[in-house]
Amino acid sequence: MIDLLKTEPAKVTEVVDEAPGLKTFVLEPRAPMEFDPGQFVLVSRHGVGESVFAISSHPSEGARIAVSVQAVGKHTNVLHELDPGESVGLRGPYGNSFPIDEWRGKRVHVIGGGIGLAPLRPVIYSLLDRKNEFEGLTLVYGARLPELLVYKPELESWKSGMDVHLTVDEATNGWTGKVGVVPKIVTDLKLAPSNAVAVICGPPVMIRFGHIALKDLGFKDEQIYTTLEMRMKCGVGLCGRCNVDHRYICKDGPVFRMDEIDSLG
Amino acid sequence: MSWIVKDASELVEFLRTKGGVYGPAGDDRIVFDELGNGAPPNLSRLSDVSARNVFQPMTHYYLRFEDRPDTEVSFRDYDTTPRVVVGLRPCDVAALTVHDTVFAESGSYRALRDATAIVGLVCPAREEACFCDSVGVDPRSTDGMDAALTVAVGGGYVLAALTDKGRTLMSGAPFPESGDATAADFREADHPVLAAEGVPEALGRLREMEIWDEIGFACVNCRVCTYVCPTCHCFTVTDEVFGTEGGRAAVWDSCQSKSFTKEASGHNPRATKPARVRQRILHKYAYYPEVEGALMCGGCGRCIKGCPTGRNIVEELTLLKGGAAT
Repeated sequence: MIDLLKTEPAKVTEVVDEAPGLKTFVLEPRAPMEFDPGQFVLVSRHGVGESVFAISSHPSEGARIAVSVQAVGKHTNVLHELDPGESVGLRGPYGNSFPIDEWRGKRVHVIGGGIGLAPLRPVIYSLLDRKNEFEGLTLVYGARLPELLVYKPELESWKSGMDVHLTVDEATNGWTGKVGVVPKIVTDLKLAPSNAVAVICGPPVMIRFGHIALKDLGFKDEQIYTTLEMRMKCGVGLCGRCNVDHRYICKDGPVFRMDEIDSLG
Repeated sequence: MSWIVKDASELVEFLRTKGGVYGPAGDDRIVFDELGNGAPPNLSRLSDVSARNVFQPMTHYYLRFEDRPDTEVSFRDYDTTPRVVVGLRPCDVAALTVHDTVFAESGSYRALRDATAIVGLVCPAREEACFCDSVGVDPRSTDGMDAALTVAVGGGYVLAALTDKGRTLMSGAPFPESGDATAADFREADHPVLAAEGVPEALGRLREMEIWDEIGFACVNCRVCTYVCPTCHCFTVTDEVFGTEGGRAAVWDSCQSKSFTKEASGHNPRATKPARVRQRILHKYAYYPEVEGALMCGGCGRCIKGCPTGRNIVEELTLLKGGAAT
């Protein structure tokens, strides 16, 4: 199976400091990479490791593949030392994607928490590009602290095309916006389930309670989409790590509709 | 076309003119290894470890690089020079179809497989942990073998070429034709029997976790069941640096290891032993069958023989099936 694990070199063209411990790397693959919103890549520093990241850039810009990296382990800490001009190993894109075409004519509520906005950003780009095809677009996005909100310039610019609601768990640094965890804001906003879908991604606890909040508002599981994460090594359904029931998160996911998921751990 | 082979080491000597020869080697602990000149394969009993390493190297460095920034990275494919595996039994040949299925999309795997001729051994005797026929494998079957050895009455083997690959392999064989040599009878022995029908469906109905506490109670997390198994195929990917040289390797790994699913954040979806024990059993006897329509098991019984605490997959599946029925 090793031929399926071959990496291609990609050049780091831009490094964006998003938040403490969180950077976005823009990579230029050897050839433009076609991908759909929700898919992921594996990025590696040879000699250190290889990790899975959601692609967070615009699907029509395959020559600029962005990944947002939180420094949590050995490899991601080394990735954080990368400067523009250096190169990394890249392979992908892998996995399925959000069925945006199926959402035409509906209101789409995008709900994100923290770095969970990364796989949702290509979704938002796509929705905004075709916003006339949808009844309306909402973003509810939050983080623990104001400085942990990612993609700040875009959170502003998106306001012209969609209803953007930002929240933080704890108001610091002069934050004057909403305060409260994302599921609470979802409840307060009374997001309407009629002719709507919700797309949710964030920390497991946020997804769990966001799911409950949406159900309480009348959303059915068939209307709620999420993207799952599990430890992965191969990304192509072989190494066995992300196997859950008869599916592999990397190959059969990472995007699932809630009714396709028995329970969230 | 078939021949009489008096001594398996003569066969190895001949096959070595055709390519590398792998077979069960060792006495106390029989594992598949490359056989040198004059080294006979040990066909006296089922090997302790399967031939998985012949088809999925335990460690294979597929990337090589210098340990410095922006170094050139070179890809090293599997060695796909012609080779022969001697002594695979029907349970192991049947198990190989799992690797063929799982790795079907890999050109490297297919090239390795195509470069390999299988000289199987029709099973001469049942062993204490065997349950091949419970999972639909006939111990006398030659399915999937390019040539087959059968123990002959009076000693030695009858060797039959079965496929084009097998006939090409045996061209120029210095052995006498088999004539009227007859195969020795299959020696039966007491062995575990599994009522395998309906196992995947029954396991799929299991909802409560408590039964896995009971099943996994004796497990000591040694992972031997997954390393001796011919259908296990999970692996990890690891980067290593030695001096100025670095490499990235695919290395066998086990779902029974606690670190298998542990994430960088510390979160571990299968943090408990029962959760891991459940994963191994359900993957083999419920998940894979749901997708592929066949059990992920050749019934070789190595996991039973190898378990230091005496866990027995046949008893466990029987218990689980009963548990699901009530």
